[in-house]
Amino acid sequence: MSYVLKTNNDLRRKSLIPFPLKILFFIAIFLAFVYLVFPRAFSIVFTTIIKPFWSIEKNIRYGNTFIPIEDVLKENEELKIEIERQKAMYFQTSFLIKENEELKRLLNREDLYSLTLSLILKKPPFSAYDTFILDIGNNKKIRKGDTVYALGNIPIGEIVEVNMNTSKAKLYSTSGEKFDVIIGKNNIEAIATGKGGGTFEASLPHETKVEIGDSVFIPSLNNSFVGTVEAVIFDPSNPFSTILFKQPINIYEQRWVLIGKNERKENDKSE
Amino acid sequence: MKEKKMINQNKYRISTAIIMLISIIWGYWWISVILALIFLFLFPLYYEIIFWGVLYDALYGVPLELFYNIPYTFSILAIFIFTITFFIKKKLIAYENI
Repeated sequence: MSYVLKTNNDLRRKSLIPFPLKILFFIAIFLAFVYLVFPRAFSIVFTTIIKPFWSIEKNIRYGNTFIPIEDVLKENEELKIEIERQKAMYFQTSFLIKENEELKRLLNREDLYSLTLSLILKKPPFSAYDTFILDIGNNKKIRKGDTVYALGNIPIGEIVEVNMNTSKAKLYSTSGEKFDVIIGKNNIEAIATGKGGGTFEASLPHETKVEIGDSVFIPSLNNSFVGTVEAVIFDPSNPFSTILFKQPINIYEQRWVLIGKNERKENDKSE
Repeated sequence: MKEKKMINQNKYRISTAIIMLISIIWGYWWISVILALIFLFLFPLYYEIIFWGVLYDALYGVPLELFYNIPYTFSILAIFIFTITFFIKKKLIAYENI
């Protein structure tokens, strides 16, 4: 005698893995593939689409679209006064720069960098990554590793990703970022760690002579003044002193930056 | 009736997508995170959160010490949070259709 076997529909219908998790699994696989094989694909596509929207924001904020004419005139007057004040300083510094360049030329150590002005499209604290999104990229021959200067030639970060019309700059002061510095008159070498918001920390032995107000530089022939020592924390139980220093500018107030195309000036010329 | 409900939900989804886009492009990062979490619990299956994570990384992501040099932190977080909330929602009677 044969029996028709009863199919277990419940078991067939109910899979071990729920459907949404299956979809999620495929999305994760797809993302892992894209991130491994084409790491910059999404970045190139999305920044190209979003850039015009960032530009709209800048036009509204910094353009004269919605600003009353009285405010513009007032700002103009203030800027004229500021220009006069800066002129006096400019004559002094331009003399020093000229002297510096002449000395470098005499010693065959000319500056091998050129600067390109760039508008900051996005900056902290808007972005969680503590990065600057800049409005120039491959179109202006910006390369990964180029130094980013705040106006006044103060290095604040470096280019980490370049797209066609935009680039991303990582700030030196980003929390946890490490880089080499030279502190004070005695040129003491140390490793500085970013603490966020344009501030840094470095550890040095107690015996090291570092004072408040000492200048801090990045080891380089070019403009490399990073900031001044603000505090030296001495703890008798710790063999190291903590040196706190900060940049002389507020990175959050910057609208423009200069990008130093390091060591490529001669190559560019030959091209 | 069911169709009307679906159209309504789609309208909500489009509105929330616009809000999320605006907050990612022009807003503070923490506003985007809070909104994404709210929408994640507002909808039974909010797959869009993964797209927002990918978009955020694409626009702003760089390898930082703070995030263990992984430039895809928000994508990974989005997938992780979606999975966690999926299991939480399964336990909650408010999401009976999951």
